[in-house]
Amino acid sequence: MKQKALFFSIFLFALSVTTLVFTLNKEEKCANSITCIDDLSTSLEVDAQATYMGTTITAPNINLNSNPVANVLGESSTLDETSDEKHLYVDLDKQTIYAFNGDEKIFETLISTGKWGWTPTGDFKIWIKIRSTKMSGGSGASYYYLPNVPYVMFFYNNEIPKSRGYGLHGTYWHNNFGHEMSHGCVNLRTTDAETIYNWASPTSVKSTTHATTADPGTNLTICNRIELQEGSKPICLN
Amino acid sequence: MSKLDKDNNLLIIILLTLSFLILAYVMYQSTSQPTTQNTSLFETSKLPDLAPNPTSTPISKPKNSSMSQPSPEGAMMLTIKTKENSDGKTAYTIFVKSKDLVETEIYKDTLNTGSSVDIPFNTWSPNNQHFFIKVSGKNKDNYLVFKASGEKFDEFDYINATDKYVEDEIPYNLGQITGWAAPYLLIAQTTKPENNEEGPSYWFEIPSQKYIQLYTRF
Repeated sequence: MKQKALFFSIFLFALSVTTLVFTLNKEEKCANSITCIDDLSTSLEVDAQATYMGTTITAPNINLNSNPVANVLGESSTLDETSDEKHLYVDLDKQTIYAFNGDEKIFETLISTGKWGWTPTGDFKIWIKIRSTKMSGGSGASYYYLPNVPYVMFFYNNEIPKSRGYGLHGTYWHNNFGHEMSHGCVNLRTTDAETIYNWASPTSVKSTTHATTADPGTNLTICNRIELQEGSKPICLN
Repeated sequence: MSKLDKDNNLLIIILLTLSFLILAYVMYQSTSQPTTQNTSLFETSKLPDLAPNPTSTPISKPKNSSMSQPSPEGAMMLTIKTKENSDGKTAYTIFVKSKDLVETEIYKDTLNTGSSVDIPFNTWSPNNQHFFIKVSGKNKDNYLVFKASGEKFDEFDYINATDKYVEDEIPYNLGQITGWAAPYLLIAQTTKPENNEEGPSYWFEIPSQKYIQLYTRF
């Protein structure tokens, strides 16, 4: 009996140690499992072919020489690039992104975030903007290779480090906004991503722009649900 | 109790205590992780069914008006213009305008009384070669797929994805067609006929004009 108890204790201890080792060594999940955050320089391919959901898609050719301009939105509003109170909010329930200048909502549009809860919630900051980059991940039937992903804005916080490669970006391979589609990133229509890219900080001066102390990245809050209130900042309901 | 027994007892207690502490630490690490999940590809999403699918406002009693939706990268514009006829019915005409500002009439038709036409937010296929519109009637919604070039599908002006759904004898009710998973794949959501709960998602493949059931919910 004593022997059985001893063997059980040793077994349980070994199992605990194995579990601990596995937990400590578990690789942090990148939004894009293959490219992750390996290359932060602008990546462009001419006449590139993308692979997504087993289909081949022609990636858009991108002209880096086109000057970034603030886009006119809708009928009357213009995104004011000079505001110091820029803030982006993502509502995972409604699959919507909102851009705020202080208490004023100036833009909203549908997005596609990560399936199965893969997009993290919390308060983040944009730390780099890249005009075009490559994203790749998955395996087998879920493998994807997406060159020339436009208007990429990577974000981070203390829990989701920069190395995890979560970002907002334009999307040319699907058009199902309003529904979860991605591996964790926040997908936008390319025109909407361009609008936010040109508005959000840091100010784009080159095809790759890092946030700095003098020009910090725009804040981004991702919530399960957001309550909008007239004339005040939205409330995050997690 | 012999010394060996005492040593064994002590060893058992130490091992159990260490195991408990290690497992408690692992549990603590797991619960303090950021809120991301890795679930099986075959599980349905844990978030509620969203499908806000905001669209241009459906015109319940259109007179003379128009609605538009750009393609995702802004290169094309789809416009539907409606006009009330003298018999009270509403005629609609579909136009596609390209970046070089050439507007092409794609199709025109007249709505039945009580019907409305709508351009979904995700109307454009990712490669801009197709778009779909929604014609809402009293009893059902028809999702019509067109070629952006105005060319026909064989001798037909459009594919009626709702009729194709019925033809495929799918044992679920068609809910919404929400958008494009890929250049030639529309996403269709379904409900169970017995209780209206979520059914599986389907792709509607444009070239074959067939529905394909998916294991995951889009």
